[in-house]
Amino acid sequence: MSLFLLFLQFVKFGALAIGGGLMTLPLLYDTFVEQRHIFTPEAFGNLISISQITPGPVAINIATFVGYLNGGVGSAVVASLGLVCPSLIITGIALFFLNKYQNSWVIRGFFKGARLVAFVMMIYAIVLFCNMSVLSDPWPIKDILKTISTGHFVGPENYHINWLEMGVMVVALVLQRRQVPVTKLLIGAAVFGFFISFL
Amino acid sequence: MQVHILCLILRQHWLYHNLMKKEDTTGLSLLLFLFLNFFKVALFIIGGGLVMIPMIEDIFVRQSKKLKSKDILDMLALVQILPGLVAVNSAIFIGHKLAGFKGAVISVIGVILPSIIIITVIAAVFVNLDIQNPHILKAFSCVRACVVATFFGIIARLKREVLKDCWDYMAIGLGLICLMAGVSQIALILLSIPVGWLLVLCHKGENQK
Repeated sequence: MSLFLLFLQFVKFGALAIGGGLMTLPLLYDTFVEQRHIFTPEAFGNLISISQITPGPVAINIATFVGYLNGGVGSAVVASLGLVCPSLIITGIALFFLNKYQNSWVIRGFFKGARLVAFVMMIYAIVLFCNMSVLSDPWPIKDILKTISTGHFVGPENYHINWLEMGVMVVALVLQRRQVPVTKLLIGAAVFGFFISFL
Repeated sequence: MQVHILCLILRQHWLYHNLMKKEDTTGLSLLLFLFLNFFKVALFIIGGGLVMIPMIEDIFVRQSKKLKSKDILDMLALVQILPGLVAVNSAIFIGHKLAGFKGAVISVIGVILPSIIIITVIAAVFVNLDIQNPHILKAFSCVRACVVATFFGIIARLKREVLKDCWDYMAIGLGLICLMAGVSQIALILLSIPVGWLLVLCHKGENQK
């Protein structure tokens, strides 16, 4: 694929990603696996799992991967830039209008509602990240209700709590109260996890 | 050679800490501040852009005091609703707020550069795309546990800004129940706009905030 075509392709993905980068995955799959046959479905699956465990936004990671496999470092950069271009334009325009009409009730109401949703999302993110670290499996809502109502534990089979991660979480909570910067906490957790896995 | 690299890192570290301390960073040093911080933040985005919110709050609100916690909430709100990646849109919002369009571009470059470097190296080295190293997986799992703790922290700090009366509590509770029951995020966001209008119009006479 030529560089320009690649750029346009990723501009399209960037403009359609409403609600986060993971929304681009079906589009990417459709384009690169079904239509252009650049990846096999297994290779695409591998690519997603690597993108999720490496640092950086998932969609940018995938764009870089696709670009690199298409034609080296230059293509990788072009694909990533294509993905962020629409955001720059759309968010720029949106910020301009929001600043201009800051005091109208429409904008204030919009922010009021959106702030509440943002707060809900933060609370929900706790559940999501717990499922990826402290808990081995998602704990289904109907099992939670059953546990509360009957008084003894109901959960999926082979369900367990990763006590190591639980410990990390508790220590991080305590350290956070002591005003330790978040970056240091995260670096500490990564180093700790890396070395404890050798035991 | 190693000494040279060490010197470079140390100098950068020194430069960075000077930037963090300076109260009125403007112009070029502000752009450098944005770039370095977003580069740093992007290194810790593991599994979703929301990870960066507590870090951004820590860096820009608590340590360098350039933004207020209300700005973080506005950012979160806007990022959910506009097309684009969460991480990239947050970078644009903060860059734009602090240094205009130039700042937005610099912040975005800072956010995507770590990905480009790391992924290019991985794609060049692991041709078969198979890295299931147990040590690295464990390290990331611990980072995610730490992220949960930072989420608890940021929620405790933002609570005062968001939850002002019982209606807010009710809205939050309703939203959580909707999410648990499997309502999609986009539907929830669309639903939130009329709710926000309602809340603002009901409180028109009271505090104009």
